[in-house]
Amino acid sequence: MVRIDSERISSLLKQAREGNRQAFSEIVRIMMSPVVALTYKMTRDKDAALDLAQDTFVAAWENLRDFKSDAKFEAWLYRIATNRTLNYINRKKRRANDSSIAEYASNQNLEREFDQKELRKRVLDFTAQLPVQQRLAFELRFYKQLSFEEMAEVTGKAVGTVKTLYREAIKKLRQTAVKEGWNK
Amino acid sequence: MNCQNIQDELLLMAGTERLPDDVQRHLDTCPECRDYWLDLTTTTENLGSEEDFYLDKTELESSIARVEERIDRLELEKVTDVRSAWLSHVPAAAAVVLLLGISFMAYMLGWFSNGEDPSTAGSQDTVWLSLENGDIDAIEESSIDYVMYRSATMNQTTSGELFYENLTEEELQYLEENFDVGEIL
Repeated sequence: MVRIDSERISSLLKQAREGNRQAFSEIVRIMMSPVVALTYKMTRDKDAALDLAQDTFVAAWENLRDFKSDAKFEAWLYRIATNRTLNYINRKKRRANDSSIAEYASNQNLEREFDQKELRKRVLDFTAQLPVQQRLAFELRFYKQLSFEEMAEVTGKAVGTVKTLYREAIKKLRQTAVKEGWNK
Repeated sequence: MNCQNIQDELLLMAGTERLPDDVQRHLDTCPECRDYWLDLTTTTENLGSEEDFYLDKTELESSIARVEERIDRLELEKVTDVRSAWLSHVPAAAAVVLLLGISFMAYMLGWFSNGEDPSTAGSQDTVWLSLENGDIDAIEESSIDYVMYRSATMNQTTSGELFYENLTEEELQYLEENFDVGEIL
């Protein structure tokens, strides 16, 4: 798992909040890929994922003064990204008049988005089966390594709720692994 | 904790690096839960890591550049907004300066000198001049009234007496013949 250097982020953040653009650019450089990974796995649309990630950083710059320095910056950033991504998915769903997340996801052209790495395809196929909130919980916990408290903060849900969402996602993961014969 | 509780906990721990001590102790003594955990770990290993979804260098650089560009634009808009806000006050400020200038000029030109009605301002002088010149016919009744009124209001008690004392005999005689001087004084 990739560890983000939180101390470095904190130091850069302090300078960025004083208006230092260079420091903020450095934060963007460190956090861009983790944010895109989140938005991509949530949307399965690379162009949208990149746009949403860029929106996230612009919004972060605009609201940097609102960030409470005792909070975890990564969690705050993921919350912005999550809200924007969920809004995007909802808009897209409404437009497509399609209530099934799985069906919506299967409509995306994965071959165009990323290269055909088997592992990526497997992850995306699995996460596509999950309802959007479980998918988010899975992403935040499994890939971003957030604590349940941080997940609750990011999603605006109770700790118990995010635990249930994650537990259900892992149960489905096991079922998929058995069905697809991953562990053989 | 029984095995069901432990396995529920293990579901929450899947994908994380370290198990809590009490859960680890249970796994050390329970083959069923240990196998369950092993199965979960193998499954999650098949999902790779965060890095598998990271952008390549070109994508990263272009994404950063686009963010920079958008923030530059935002900052520029903010500066423009501040300028516009200042510029919007310029006409009002100009109007105030203009009004002050006009007022000052008016003051200097004496437009607001004493508030006296210019149409009657010279009446008192005209009366005196006519009296001095002996041209009594030129004195109109309204002018006399005005002079008396002014004298009465400006010098409440003495004006009438002063006016009376300054008259020559001829003037006094004329006034007594033509006006009710006693009432006026």
